[in-house]
Amino acid sequence: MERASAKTKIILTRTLFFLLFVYSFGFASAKIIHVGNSYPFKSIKKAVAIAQAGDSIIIQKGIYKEGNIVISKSISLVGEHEAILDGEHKFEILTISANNFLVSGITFQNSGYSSMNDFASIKVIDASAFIIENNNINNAHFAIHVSNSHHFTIENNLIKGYPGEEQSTGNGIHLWKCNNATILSNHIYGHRDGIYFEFVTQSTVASNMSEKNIRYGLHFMFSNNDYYTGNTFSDNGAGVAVMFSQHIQMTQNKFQFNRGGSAYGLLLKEISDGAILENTFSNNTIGIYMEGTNRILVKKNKFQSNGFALRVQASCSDNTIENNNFIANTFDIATNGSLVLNTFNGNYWDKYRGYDLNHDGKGDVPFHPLSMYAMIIEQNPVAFLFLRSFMVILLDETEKTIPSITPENFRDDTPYMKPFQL
Amino acid sequence: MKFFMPLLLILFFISCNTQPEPIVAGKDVCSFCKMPVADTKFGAEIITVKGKLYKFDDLICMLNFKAEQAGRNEKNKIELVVDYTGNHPLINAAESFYLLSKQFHTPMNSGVVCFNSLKTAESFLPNFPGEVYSWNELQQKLK
Repeated sequence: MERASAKTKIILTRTLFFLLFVYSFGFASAKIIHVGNSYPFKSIKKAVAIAQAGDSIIIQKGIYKEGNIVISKSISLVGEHEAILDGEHKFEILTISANNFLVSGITFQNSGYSSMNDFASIKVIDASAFIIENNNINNAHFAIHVSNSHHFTIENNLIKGYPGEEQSTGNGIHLWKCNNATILSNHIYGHRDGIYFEFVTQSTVASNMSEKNIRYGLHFMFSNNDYYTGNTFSDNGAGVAVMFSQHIQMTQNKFQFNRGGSAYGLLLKEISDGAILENTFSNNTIGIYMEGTNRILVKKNKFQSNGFALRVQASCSDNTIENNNFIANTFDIATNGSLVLNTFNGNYWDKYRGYDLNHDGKGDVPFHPLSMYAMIIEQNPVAFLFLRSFMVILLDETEKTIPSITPENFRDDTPYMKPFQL
Repeated sequence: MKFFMPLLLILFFISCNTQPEPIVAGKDVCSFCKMPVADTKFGAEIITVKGKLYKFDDLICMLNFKAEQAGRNEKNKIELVVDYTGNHPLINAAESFYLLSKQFHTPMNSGVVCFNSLKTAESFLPNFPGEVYSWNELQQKLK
């Protein structure tokens, strides 16, 4: 249902863009300006200077080193195969401030780096109704940097960074103070944050692949009412961070291979009123880490082969965790307090050893997902050393029979006997 | 036994004399907001009386962390901040000057950067309009 509405939204925005383009072309008797070695115009800057609203600039194959190109007109900038814009490690390549434009099919490489300015391959300021698509961005500081803009689409770009040890790199797709943005089917590799949202509302992030980024695959700060679905976050410093935000919907994403001392599949901090549905968390150090998280529904997710599936800090309340599969995790749950303010209901736990005499598919005795050893490790991380030792297994079994350290009401009353088909 | 006592003493001193460590991007994690540090121009560091080392990605995290510390009665021996200029060395928090400007995009959006002298801090004012504070003034301001 939610997915369908997202698709409708995407189709609607596209139609809107299309109409806007047709509209502008119709009125301005649009020209097509070719740029390249075999055409009168050799320089993109000169072509931009004479172009009028609605014109298209087609860039022929070749390497263009023109420093910083500034555009403030409603034009289309389209690259033919192997049209390359080079920033020579010194310049911001493209700076655009206009409504209703298109940047498509261009290869950007070697944008400049400055510790004071956020240099980008494509920087957009105060704009609306634009599309950035099918570009190939290599070795950028920030790849696509959009601020103070609304109603736009960034689609199908391939963004690849080469983070050095010393130099700090920028974000792949960076949005600041935007609304109604659609980030679709991009592949981002090796930046600081793959996709970064700060003060961004009513926006959709769908079907992107974000991997091997230094910090997060996707990062929300102070952003409300956003939706991300069908993305894959793999091998990042930490998968996704949602911080100081409200009403974020997270569905059908894959969080995988986010491993390290403080790596998370999904980090939730100071957020409320969202939903985490039908995602897969696999091979992470910690699947979901929650701190100051309220009223979140965690449903129909798959937690498989994580160190900790869920780490719920005591500052979280009124979260509901139901109908999830917990399979082959070292620890299913960890927490740092004894107060239980969250509901665990009807999940499948592979560690459940109960029975089902009335054959209703649900276990007849409650399951206590919090193992005693998880409590000990929380207070004393060094104790990890004795994991899987005989004494620890013995203690855990004793605790299961006669709970003393773990909170008695931390339990799932209706654990399922069979995993859900997710 | 002869070797054991000096060894114990050495261990004792090693464990109690924590030295400041530089903040490393991509490796260190903020002790307050849990974010991996990506930008070493900002940030701060605390060493407690007991020798525990905490690193932060933004000054506001350090101040929030200090508020938490007050609750559990933890005392600090050393408080350091990252100098915005030069090679971004760690400098003493109490002797530094702070420029609060919304033009600085710090990791947690506090907009605070640190300088080792009042003169340098003020030289940034034309490009980054804001207010310069001392350590005490800043703590009052962002309380």
